[in-house]
Amino acid sequence: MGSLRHRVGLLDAWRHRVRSAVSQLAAAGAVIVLFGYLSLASNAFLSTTNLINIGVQSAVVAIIAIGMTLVIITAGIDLSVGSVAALSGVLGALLVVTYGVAVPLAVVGGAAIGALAGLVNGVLVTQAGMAPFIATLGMLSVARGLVYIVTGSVAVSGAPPEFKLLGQGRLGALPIPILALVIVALAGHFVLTRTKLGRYAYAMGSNVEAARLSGIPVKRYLSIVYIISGTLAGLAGMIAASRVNSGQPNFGIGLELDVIAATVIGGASLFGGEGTVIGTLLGALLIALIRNGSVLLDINIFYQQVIIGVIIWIAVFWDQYRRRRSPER
Amino acid sequence: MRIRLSVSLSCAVCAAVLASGCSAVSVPGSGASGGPKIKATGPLTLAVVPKAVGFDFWDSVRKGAQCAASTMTDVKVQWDGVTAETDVTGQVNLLQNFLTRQVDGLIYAATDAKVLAQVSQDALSRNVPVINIDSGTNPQPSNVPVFATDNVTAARKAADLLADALGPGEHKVAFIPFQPGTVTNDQRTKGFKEGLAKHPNLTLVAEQSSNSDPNTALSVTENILTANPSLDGIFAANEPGVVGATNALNQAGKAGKIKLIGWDASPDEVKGVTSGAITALVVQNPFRMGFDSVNAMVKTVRTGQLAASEDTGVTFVTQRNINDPAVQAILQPSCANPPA
Amino acid sequence: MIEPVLETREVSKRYPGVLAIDRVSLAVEPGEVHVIVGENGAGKSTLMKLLSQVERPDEGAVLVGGKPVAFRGPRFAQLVLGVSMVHQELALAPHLSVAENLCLGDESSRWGVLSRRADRRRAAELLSRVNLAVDLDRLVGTLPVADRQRVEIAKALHGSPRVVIMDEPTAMLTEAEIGHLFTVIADLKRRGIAVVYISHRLEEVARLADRVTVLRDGRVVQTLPAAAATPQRLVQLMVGREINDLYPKPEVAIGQVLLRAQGICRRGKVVDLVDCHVDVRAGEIVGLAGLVGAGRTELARAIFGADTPDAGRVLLRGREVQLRSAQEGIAAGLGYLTEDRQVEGLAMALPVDQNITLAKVPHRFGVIKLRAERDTALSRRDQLDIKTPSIKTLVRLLSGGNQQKVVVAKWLETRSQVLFFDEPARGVDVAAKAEIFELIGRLAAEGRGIVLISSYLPELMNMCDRIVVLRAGRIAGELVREQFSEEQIMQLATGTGNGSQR
Repeated sequence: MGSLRHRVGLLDAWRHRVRSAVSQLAAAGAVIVLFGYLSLASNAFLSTTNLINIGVQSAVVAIIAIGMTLVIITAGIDLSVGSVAALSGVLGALLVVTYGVAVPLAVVGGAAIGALAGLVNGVLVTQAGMAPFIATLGMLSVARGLVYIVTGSVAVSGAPPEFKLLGQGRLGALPIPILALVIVALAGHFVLTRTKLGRYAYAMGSNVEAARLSGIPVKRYLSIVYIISGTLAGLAGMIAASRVNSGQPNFGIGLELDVIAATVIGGASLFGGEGTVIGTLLGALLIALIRNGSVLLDINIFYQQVIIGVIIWIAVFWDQYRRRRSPER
Repeated sequence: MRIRLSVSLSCAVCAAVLASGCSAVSVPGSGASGGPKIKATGPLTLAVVPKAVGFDFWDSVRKGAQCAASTMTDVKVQWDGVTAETDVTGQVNLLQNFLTRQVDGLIYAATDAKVLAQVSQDALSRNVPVINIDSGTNPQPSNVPVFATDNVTAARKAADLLADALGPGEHKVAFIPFQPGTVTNDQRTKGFKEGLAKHPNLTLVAEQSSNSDPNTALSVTENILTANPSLDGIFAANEPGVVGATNALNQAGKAGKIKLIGWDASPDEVKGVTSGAITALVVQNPFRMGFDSVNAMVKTVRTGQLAASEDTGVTFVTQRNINDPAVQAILQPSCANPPA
Repeated sequence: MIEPVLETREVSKRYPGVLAIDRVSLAVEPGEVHVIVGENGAGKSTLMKLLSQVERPDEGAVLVGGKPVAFRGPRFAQLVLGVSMVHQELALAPHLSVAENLCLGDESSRWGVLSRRADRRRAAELLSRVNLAVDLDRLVGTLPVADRQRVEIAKALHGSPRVVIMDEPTAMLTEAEIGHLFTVIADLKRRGIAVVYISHRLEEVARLADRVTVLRDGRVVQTLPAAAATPQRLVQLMVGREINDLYPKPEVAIGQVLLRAQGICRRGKVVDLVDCHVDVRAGEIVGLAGLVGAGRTELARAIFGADTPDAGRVLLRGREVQLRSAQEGIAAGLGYLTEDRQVEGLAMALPVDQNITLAKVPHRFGVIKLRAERDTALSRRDQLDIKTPSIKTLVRLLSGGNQQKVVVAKWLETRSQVLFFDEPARGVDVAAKAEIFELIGRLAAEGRGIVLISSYLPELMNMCDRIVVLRAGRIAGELVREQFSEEQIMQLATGTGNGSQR
């Protein structure tokens, strides 16, 4: 009997491993197929400039999506990232333009503003006991409102040339947004796979009560997760502002949807407990590829929306299919 | 005789009827048939609603409107708007709230021509006069004037400017619209394409929307440059598109080499003209839209006289004329130095 | 020979990678109580799903009244065929009222408008058949578990059932409630309704069954009359070998008091704890007995620190400790194995090793030491004989007994001196149950203190050195091993008769 179950267990485990690999491959496969198709369909696609452009264009979404992955792993959600990114970008630009703060300091300031917004989200979720959806929906509105109050709804421009460095500068041949993304991704991967924070995120997302009874300080770690999400949104907001050399009050409206799409396409489950940095990067890359390819092939913008929506469906369907197929006894 | 008399009698009746009818039309509010109420004295509250808050253009409208109000006693301008030009329902709700609060006049820019037509009707049936700025409705009620730029004509001229800047020979050009499906966007698209048709040496190789987001415009322009390395000119049809395209050209080292015709005049755009990254800007006169519409509205409410629609005009700003005082007045509108 | 009311002929059901039911033939006679026993994974639940048309068999035929039936889903099975099912997981909508639940899916209506009065009449009639007096408008979510189950049975009686299938109906009930359930079953039987009854509790078979069918690995081992079905015989058939001792309790010398909880008070949603006192000595297994809602789990959680008590002191080895969270309880050397592993105890989506180290991740500055983690997991796996293909296997793929061992491993890792086991054998099959009790005995023998919570008195009476009985949040009495008897415990738990006071 035991040996039978043992064998069945082995089989199941093996199946599970194959399935989770295939789920990653679904996003990876889509990226490869699209990449191949675009290489053939557009002779401009494979140029170094274009590939670097795709990297830079995906950086903002990808950086925020890495924070979002952490949040979604805990079975939470952060809807405020787009607004928080705008708030950071605008206030960061304002620090430089109006108060003459040094640019590196302003970047730190922008990220800190994001962190503060994340802290508020975290406190609302853990202390006030609000559902993450509600808490961050509120923050989405509050942060956007603050942007308009602070700017009078006019773009903050007139920043000195150094302000461009973060979004437009290069280190050697590597654009700084890509460099920032690489650093964030490596750190994110390390955090998720090798640190207590990452382990606890998965545990809380898988079973928050088990985590609590195992002595994990759930509230503290959940708060940290939202702070990280806010900080990365702030950093990405600064990169976006730097790319257009101004703080744009209308930046990032609806950005959270792209970010969540990237995360979900990358295999994260909105039920928590699942998600990887690599998957999320693939998801963000896929979205950037679709956008880039659509312009290269001069496809109507409305079709781009449809394509992204369909890919979300496929990804989520895949996720649920996997869930249904997995043995439950 | 009898016959003639009866005819003249009936004519007199006719005339009386006509006269009363006419007077009802020419002096709105004096008859029982409705029309705006005259409020010759006392405080007035006017609602001024842009398509969305968040852009330089609409901020200039606000300055103009508030400037007009500040020159008069007892006139207050309530400025409010939704945060995205696509938020049609939000704008409908906002306007209805203003009507509920019984403002004396409604000045607004329609985010959607068809949907907002109903709101104008509601306002008129409550005897609240309406003026459209920038974008009107469809159908446009005869007693709702429009204070706006003639977008089709101005965009046609933008194509001419691009052709002039590029000179003779074959050229590839790209077009960056901002919100396909909106009236203003579609008018500018129509005008630009009509203009292009007059210049067969210009070929339109890409048409990609910026979604009114500068970061999107930046990515889109980068990708257009990738797809068309030999691009010669770009027309970006509103401010975020121009800001994004300018940054893309600067980062690609193609500023000035690729001719960029833009629209509107935010500080970043003006800087682009000065630096040579932007060849020319089609600059509307939003200050005047706000200023003139408020003045006209006050006149309508105070006297009952309906205003006529007005083309607030455009100015083409280039490196050459940018320092002219008249152009500066348009670029930096203020109550102290109002543009013509 | 009597014509069977419900019959399967050579039915099989395959799930991905598993042949869950393998050519099973089973005949249920009218008015009989037919008990199905078997270990977890033997195919009991799957077989019931085939009978009640929740799942379609891959091969073979299901016959009702001697005729093969088409597969049209559970509603068809209940209303047309008269085969209805009482689900193990209580398939009721907690946010709907009792009446609404009873008529759910078959509401009386006229032209699409619900007829409340007709529904209420029908609901009241159904409730009377299960002898349950409860407000029809009460939300099902607010009912106690036993009442909810009664509602579920009432729901199954809608239509004109010929067969009612019950999937482990006693798993969540106390002794007294089980008695009431059996009365309802006897009543069904009297009316000629056959009951197919799945159970883990072999002792129930004698009280209930007419015939017993034993399943193992998806096949019928044997169908035997109740008289022949002694627990020993059934275990042997189920496991395929003999298990000598279900409750292997070692002789342990009992030492010093490890844990003393004094005057524990706590207001709670279900029950208020009042002035509770519990001592646990080294090597001792202390049972917590009581009816559902008496506060056993609540008391354990309050002592452990998961729910902070309003008043009272906890002393470990004579020194007072402040336990305001699970974190502090763990740090002080306590461990709590929850009642519901799936809901509270394990992160099901994580692998075995990560669950083992969950309460104490080896790390330096927040960075996990992967090698140390692996070594820990491997040694605990070997120590507790956790049967898993790999320590990287997801916990949800393990059997109930092995999942329980993973939880134990987690607490051993925190060096817990006193362990609370809350219903450790629930949902675990016979062989694994014996293994878990053997493990509990071993943990005690190593000098730890054990608190064992169970609704199943034989478990407590066999395993414990002392049993503390709770009634309505208070300690009703305490019995030492020589005083153990089911009557004594039940008298204390229900407040009838005189138990010995402490």
